Amino acid sequence: MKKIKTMEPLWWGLFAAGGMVSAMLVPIHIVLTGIAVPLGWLSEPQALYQLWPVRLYLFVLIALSIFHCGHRIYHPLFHFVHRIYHSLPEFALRVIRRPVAVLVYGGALTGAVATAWVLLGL
Amino acid sequence: MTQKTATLTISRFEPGKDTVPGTQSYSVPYLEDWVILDALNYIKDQVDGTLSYRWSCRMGVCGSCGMMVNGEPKLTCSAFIRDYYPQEIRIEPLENFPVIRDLVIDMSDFMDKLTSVQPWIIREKEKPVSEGEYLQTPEQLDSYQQFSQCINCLLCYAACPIFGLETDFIGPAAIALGYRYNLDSRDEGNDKRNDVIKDVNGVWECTFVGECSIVCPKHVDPAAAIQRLKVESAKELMQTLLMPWGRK
Amino acid sequence: MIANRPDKSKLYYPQMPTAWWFKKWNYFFFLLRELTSVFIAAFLVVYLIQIYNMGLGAEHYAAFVERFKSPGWIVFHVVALIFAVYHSITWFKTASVILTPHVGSWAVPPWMVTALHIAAWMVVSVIILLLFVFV
Repeated sequence: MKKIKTMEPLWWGLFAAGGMVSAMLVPIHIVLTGIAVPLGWLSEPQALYQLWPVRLYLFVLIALSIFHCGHRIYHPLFHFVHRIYHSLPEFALRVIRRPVAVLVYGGALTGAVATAWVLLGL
Repeated sequence: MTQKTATLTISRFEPGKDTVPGTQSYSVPYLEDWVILDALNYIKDQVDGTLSYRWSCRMGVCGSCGMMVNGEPKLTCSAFIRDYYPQEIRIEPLENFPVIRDLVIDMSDFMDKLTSVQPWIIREKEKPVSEGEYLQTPEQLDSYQQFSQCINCLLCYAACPIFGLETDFIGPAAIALGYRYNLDSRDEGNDKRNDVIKDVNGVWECTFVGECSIVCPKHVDPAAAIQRLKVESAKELMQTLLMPWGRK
Repeated sequence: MIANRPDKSKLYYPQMPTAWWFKKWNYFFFLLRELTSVFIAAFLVVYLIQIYNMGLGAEHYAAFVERFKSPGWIVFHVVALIFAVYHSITWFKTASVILTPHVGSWAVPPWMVTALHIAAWMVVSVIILLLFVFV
């Protein structure tokens, strides 16, 4: 088996998938559940959320998009923190990378797990 | 009619004497067809011989004269003074590089990074000259040609904020040139190059700001090279994970 | 390799300013583009909580939705929408750099790739809208 040097392409692949999913689907969902329903233009089709295909769709939409957002937030945030502490020696910078990654990707992972839990419990 | 003049404010730094760069303003004649390099040469020849900067071909093919003009990385042989006149023009050394003197930057780090991607044709066995040339169709040439136009002017490095923040990032030009050889039908060195290009200091540092491709004077589009390498990398990892028996 | 290296002790090492994203308009737009992910993530979390409340029962859900009628929440959703749309458009533009589809030997130009993505986006949105309204 070819030696794997880094898993980065996998995270990037998920990031790219999440990006396409959120780009195509998030705007309409904001319009529907965030603006149309509260303003009374439409009513939420609650029965729809019971269907398994719909739940699967929502899981993919929410979990993958949250991962995408996590990855996008991590990079600039890491650079921002890195820049603030630019005077630190090299080993200390590696120390920063971990907490920032854990914070952001941990948050994204929690989001994915929470999504699954909510959708399964409906 | 009195000669019109333009004002250039130029960054000056003398190693061993200055700790931070300062500026010096010069008045040069304003001529419709002058580029900034003409003004710099005028200053060096007639006004202040101590001004240091790099230049060579004065026609946009050697990549020597890259500098920051009003905060934008430009080839000074291709930047016309009339596009800035009558505003004062600020000339500074290329951003994100250590400064040796005045407008001259240290590019040895880039040279190391460029060498590390092995930007030459790598073959298992060289064909002997008696067997003739390597043949290539126009389509095969087309696939890599734009990436071969790089003149190593480093404007993309000056434009890239990630390179400014992470000095280990090998950078747009080095990756684009590595990609150029990966795409070349005569080349067999993808694996060797990808160890460097597809490593964490290669394409994965890039967050696709896109400035590199915007400032490139030769329309190389290094940003496209980097993103396509990411896609390639992702596909390869999928293959390796899902079909480990497939590749050696 | 390189014969003449400058004396590193005499070099001037410039530092990037902390607020480097204000140096150029393009850097600012880049930051804005990345910031869209914060708003999208925020909306998704709110949406998830809404779905959770839906599962708790009709009265629970009705009370929850009442809160969304407040001007504050409407503003949040409108702002999130603006950022989500900016995210979509910039995403499709970047996709056109990566995707170079060919029809035979003709290369589809980048602007067309972006336009096709936007068209697909419109179609998908309408489908979701119709499912929402009529099912």
